[in-house]
Formats: sequence, structure tokens, C-alpha cells
Amino acid sequence: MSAVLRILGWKAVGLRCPDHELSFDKSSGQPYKVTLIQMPNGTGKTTTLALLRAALSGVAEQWAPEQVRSFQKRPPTTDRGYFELRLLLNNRRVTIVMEFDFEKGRVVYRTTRSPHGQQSGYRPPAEFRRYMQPDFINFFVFDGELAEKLLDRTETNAEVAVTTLFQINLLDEVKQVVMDYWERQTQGKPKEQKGLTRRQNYRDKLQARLSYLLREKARLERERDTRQTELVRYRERYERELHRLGELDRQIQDAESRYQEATRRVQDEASEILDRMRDPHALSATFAKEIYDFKQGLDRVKLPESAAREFFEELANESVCVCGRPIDAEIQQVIRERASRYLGSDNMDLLNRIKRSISEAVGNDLNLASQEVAEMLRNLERLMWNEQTTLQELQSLRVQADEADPAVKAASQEISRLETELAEIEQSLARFESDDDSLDDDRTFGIKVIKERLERAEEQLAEVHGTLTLKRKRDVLAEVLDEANRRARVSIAEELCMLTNQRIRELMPYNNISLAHIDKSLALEGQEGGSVGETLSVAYAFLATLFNQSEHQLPFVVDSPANSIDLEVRPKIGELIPKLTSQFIAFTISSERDGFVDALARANPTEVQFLTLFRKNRTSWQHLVSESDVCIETTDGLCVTGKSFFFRFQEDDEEGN
Amino acid sequence: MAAPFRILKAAREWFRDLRGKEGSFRTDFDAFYFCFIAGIAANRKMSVKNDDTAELVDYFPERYGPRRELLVALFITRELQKLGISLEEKDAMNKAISALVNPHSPSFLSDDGVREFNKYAHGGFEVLQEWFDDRPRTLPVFLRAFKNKLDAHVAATAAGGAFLSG
Repeated sequence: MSAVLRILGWKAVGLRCPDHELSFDKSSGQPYKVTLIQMPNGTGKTTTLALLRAALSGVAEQWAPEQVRSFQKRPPTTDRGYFELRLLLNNRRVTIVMEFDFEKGRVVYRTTRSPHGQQSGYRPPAEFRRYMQPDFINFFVFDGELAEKLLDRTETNAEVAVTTLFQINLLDEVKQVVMDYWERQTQGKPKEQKGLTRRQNYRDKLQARLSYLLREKARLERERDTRQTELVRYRERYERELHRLGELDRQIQDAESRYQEATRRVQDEASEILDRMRDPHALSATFAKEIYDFKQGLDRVKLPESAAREFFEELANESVCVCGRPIDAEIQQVIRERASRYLGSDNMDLLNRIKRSISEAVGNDLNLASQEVAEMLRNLERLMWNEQTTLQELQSLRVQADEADPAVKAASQEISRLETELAEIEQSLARFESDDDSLDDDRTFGIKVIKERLERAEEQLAEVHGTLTLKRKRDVLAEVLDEANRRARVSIAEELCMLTNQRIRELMPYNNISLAHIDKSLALEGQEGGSVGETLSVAYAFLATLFNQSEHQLPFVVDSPANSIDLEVRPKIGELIPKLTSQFIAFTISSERDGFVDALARANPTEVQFLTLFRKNRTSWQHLVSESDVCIETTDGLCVTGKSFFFRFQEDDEEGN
Repeated sequence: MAAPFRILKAAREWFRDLRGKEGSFRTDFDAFYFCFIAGIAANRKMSVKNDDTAELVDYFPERYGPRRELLVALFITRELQKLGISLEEKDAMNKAISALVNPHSPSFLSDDGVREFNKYAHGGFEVLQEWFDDRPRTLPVFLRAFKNKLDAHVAATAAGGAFLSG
């Protein structure tokens, strides 16, 4: 069944934002396609977004009293607060109310929907529950930085979104149920068997060790990714700073390319030598002589012979020899015994092949191949010397650049620091791949080794429990679930990648950028060549593909969609967003209007609702309201509807949120 | 399935910086090969527990395919020396070769042959650790150093008269 979620409006009273009520529905009952809510800094955007997320997810019931009280108006005017969210779920109205009791530090939910009427508690329709998980809501109620984070390989947002939406984590949950079941079965068994406790403790210790290693590895990988991102940034900065040095920069670039060329030649030569050394006779003239002598020896003793063992074995079965004399039982026995001195015909073929190969490889000059290798090695030495010289030249120029400009030096030092740290991290990470099985558990870092030990410990424990068969079934099931998990991730990621690219081609036919694959983050094809605008467009297209499909359509509620985007990129994103979703609600500040709002309104002229919400008693703002503006006033807030006021409004200063 | 070649896990670890880099070792068989050569050069075989080794393939892979006859020849030569069989003893050679080879196996070696072949690689890793103070980090440096060590060892052994037997 499809699930279409729309937001019709909300109302807030007695909370940290100004009291206000916003309605996004038109006379048709359907909401505007685009709603822009302009709220100056300090008006409570963050509070409103948090309330919205809490109303959608039902999490506030679990909030601690201090967290509940953090939503109370400052200074407090009442010990009660109220937030009402009006939704349209599959064209049916649903209202979720949160009642704040600041004295008790508690939030109580009420839900109104047909045909049930008003009910206490958080009770959205069952078919919407999967879209209203706290983790998931963050992907359609988000701040403007989410799109960038989706592309950041140190973040895992893309993976979380896909996993949550398609409920792949259910497979992990099922696996956990299987594991828990086995655990219960083994725990319930009698413990009088010898060594049971010891084995259980050992198994637990290995499990703890494995969890520690996996955690540690993941932590180091995250650190590595962060450092790599930093390194790229500093290298770019270094290049930029260097560029300002003119002639010196040109000299460094020349030296850099000479060094790279020298390195490439060393690698090529080493690669060729390695291949030549795979011929044992080329590695050493002694080996050449040995195999040559072997061949000569075979020739001398006439091996292989012209007759194969099979000939004599057949002859032994005959009654008359090839020479015409009769073969009796005694002679038959002698022939059979002596037949074993002869090689079989297959072995003869092989020996002939070996002899031929030796002749072809070694030929008449036993030293030729090894002399060739020796010459190649001398050349390698020369090339390595050249590589070293070019490196020294490059380093010397870099030192000059460092001395010429402190900014270059600073970037250069950061690069050195990051390279050192990265090398250390890589070294630490390599320990987890180790096969070394010789050390005790506490000193073993190889994850595969600890897994194998754990597997053996579990087998031994299962033997004691008499649950070996059950354990094997558990393992098969766990393996099936892991494989299903893997396949689901791969096929969903591929499908999403294809659909996103399809959407990109439709929306941005002249762009040359596309999604390469979806892993933890989004990886772009030709990312290096893509502008910020293009890459952000891809991230938005990905979100739209996720949230607006035939089976579900969700709104986008975005805080400051343009704040982190450069002015020149804004029109591109502004034009794109309305095409991606059927409801887009954005919280903006006045400085975001330039480029972004104009483009957005141009792309969607009749469907944009403009709202401006601000605190009362800010005279500079209140004076802007004219009699012709539609204005709703509350105890501490003013909400003005209309494009004209929206564009007239100007923030004069900023307060913290 | 024929018996596979096996590399000491510690040897694979030792060569890890040369593995997979551009222009370096393409497979773990390269590491196995250099161990084998060191074992052959020093005439050192070593038996190890299967648990200490990792299984490779049961044939001479990739670039070693066209060289398999030469490698088998070198191995047989050294085995005949170990068994004290001179290249004049036809029957003894016949018997020994028959035990070591199997024309139907992808490596041309019998299971016993592969087992003995592996022993040279295991012993060779010990030799490499004696030759080198530290594990190799780059291919160019390793290749030069390996060749120097090999030549020095061969020269020293030849001077002692123990390297070759006819």
C-alpha cells in the first residue's frame, strides 16, 4: 500500500519559540508545494524542528525531565506547553498533540484520526510507522548540511537512510533473535559437566576480544577517513599557496614531474626484473647449470627410455615373447618386476617436456639469462639513484617555498603531520589483517584468527552442552541471513543508484555528473570535475529518489537549505528542489534569499507560500508590517503571510538560537 | 583435488608491503616463490604444522605457468641430491622421479612432491629472515638485496663445495 505523508501545519504555545500557528493548506485542502518560513536567528528554528521531529516520532514520551523543561518559554509564563502537528496521511487528517507539563518534566501525546477520534498516546496509522522512526525522520526533516554529509565518505548517512527505509536492519534483528535463542538453550543446560564454566568463560572472553577488535578497527578506519579528507584539503591548500609563488611554483612542478617520471621508470624496471627473476635459471647461473646438468644426466642414462612401463606390463600377459620364446609364470613375474624400473608413458612425456623446456630456456649459454638480470639490476640501481636525486631536488625546492611563504610552510607541516599520522593508523590497521596465530588471545590482533578461535571455542562448548546440531543450524541460519543482508544492500544500492541517475538525467540533462555507487556515503562518478552545485544536486536527487517513489511520498523539511551554499550555486539548487518533492518546507533567514529564493519562486511561481515569523517587541521589524499585510499576532510573536513582506524583511542583528 | 602449495602465514605477513602494489607481487605465489628459491639455495627444508600455513593453489599460477617445467626440474635436481642419487644411477633416478611427479596433476607434482616442494619454501622463509634484518618495504630494494644475498650465498657454498653434486 502506498504511503503519502503531507504536513498541513502546526501550532506551538508556551514553548521556547514564539507562540504561533502555521497552516500550509490551500482552499483545496492540499498543502502548498513549497512553503518558505522566514525566521530570524533566535526565533526558535531549532526548537521548532525538534518539536516537529518529536511529534512525528513519538520520542518525547521517553525524554528526561530536564530535556522536557528545556522547551519551556524563557522567561517562563506558564508551566504548560502545547505543540500540535496536523498531517495528511493518505488524504486522511491526523493530528498529533504533545502536551508539556514542565513541573513534572513530562510530555503526554494525544492522537486524533478517523475513525478512532481522539485517543491518548502516540498512535499514527500502522502503515506510516516505518517512516516515523526517529533515525529516519532526520532524513526528511534535516538541516542544509545533510546533503553535503551524504557525499562525505567519513559519514555514514547514505547507508543509514537506505538501511532504515528498506528495513534491512530487520535481518540483523532476526539474526540477533537466532543468537539469543541459542544462548538461552545453552544457558539452560545442566552445568555439572567438567570444564563447562571454563569453556563458557573462554568463549565469552573471545567474544569480548572480537567485539573490541571490530570496534577498534572501525574507530581507526573512521580516523583514517577523516585524516585522508583533511590531507586532501591541505594538499589543495598547499597547491593554492604554492601557486602564488610564481617562478618557484613552476620549478616545483617541473621537479615534481621529473620525480614522478623517475619513480615510474624505477617501478617499470623493477616489474620487468621481477618477471625475469621468475625464471630460476635467470636468478642464478648456478641454477641454470644444475638444471642443465640434470637434463644432460637424463640424456646420458637415456631417460626417458624409448619403451614405456606399459609395454612390459602388457608383454607379461602374453604367452610368447616378441622374440618368439615362450613366457612361463616365472618369466612373467620377472618381467612385471622389471617393468617398474621403466617410466609410464605419461611420465615419459613429462620428462621429455622438461628436457625440452630446459634446452629452450638455458640453451648453450648457461650464464646468458643471469647476466641479463645482472645488467637489468645495474640499470635499476642507476634509475634508483636518479629517483633519489630528483627527490632531493624537489625537497630542496619545497624547503625554499616553505621559507618564502609562511602559509606554504604551515600547509606543508600539516601535510607532513597528517601523512605521519596516516602511516601510523595504516600500521595499526594492518594488525587486524594479521594471520599470526602464535600469540595468546590478548596479544592477537588478527580478526580472522580470533574468529577462528571463537568458532572452535563455540564448537567445544556446544559439544559439552549437547547442542552441537543446534549450533550448526544456528550457523547456517546466521550465514543465510548475512548473505541476504549483503545481497539486499547491494541490489537496493544498485537500484537506487540507477534511479537516482535517471532522475539526474531528467532534471539536469546538461550535467556531466552521476552517482557511481552507494556505500556508506554517495560516491560520484567524475567527482573531481563536479562543481559544488552539481554534487549537491546529486545528493538532493538521491534523497528525492528515496522519499518520493510510487510506494511512498514524504515531504522535505529543511533548515537553512542555502546557508552553507555559495551564492553562485544557490540558483541551481533553488530551481531543482521543487522538482524533487511534492512538498517542500524550508526555514530560511533573510540572507538566504539572494539567489536561492528567487530561483525557487521562478521555478514554481504559483505554488510558493511565503511566511515570516518573528518575536514581538522588535520594533525595527514590527514597523515593517503595513496595513495591507496579512498578520497574525500572538502573545509574543507575529506571523506575516505574503511575498512582499517576506522580501522586505531584513534581519538587523543576530541572537543565538 | 591435487595437493595445494602452502605458504607460511608468517611469510605472507612478512611480504605484505610488496603485495598488491602497482608493479609488485601480483599474488601470494610470488612470495612463495622467493621463499622456495631461498630454500633451494640454502638446501633447507622445514616441516611445519598445517595450521601455520595458508593454502595457495594446486598449480603454478599466472606468470609461473610457462616456467613450471623449469621449477619442477630444479626441485627434482635438489631432491636427487638430498637422496644421494647421482645422475648416473638410472634406476634410482627413475624411481625417485616417479615418486615426485604426476603428469596428471596441474602442478606436474605428486602429492608427495608438492609436500616436499612446500618444505623448501618453509625452510626458505627461515633463510630469508636470516638474510634480511627487516621485512621488505619496496620491490626495487627487495629485488636488489635478494639477488645480492643469493649470489653471496651461492658463492660461499660453492667455495665450500657443498652446493652442487653431479
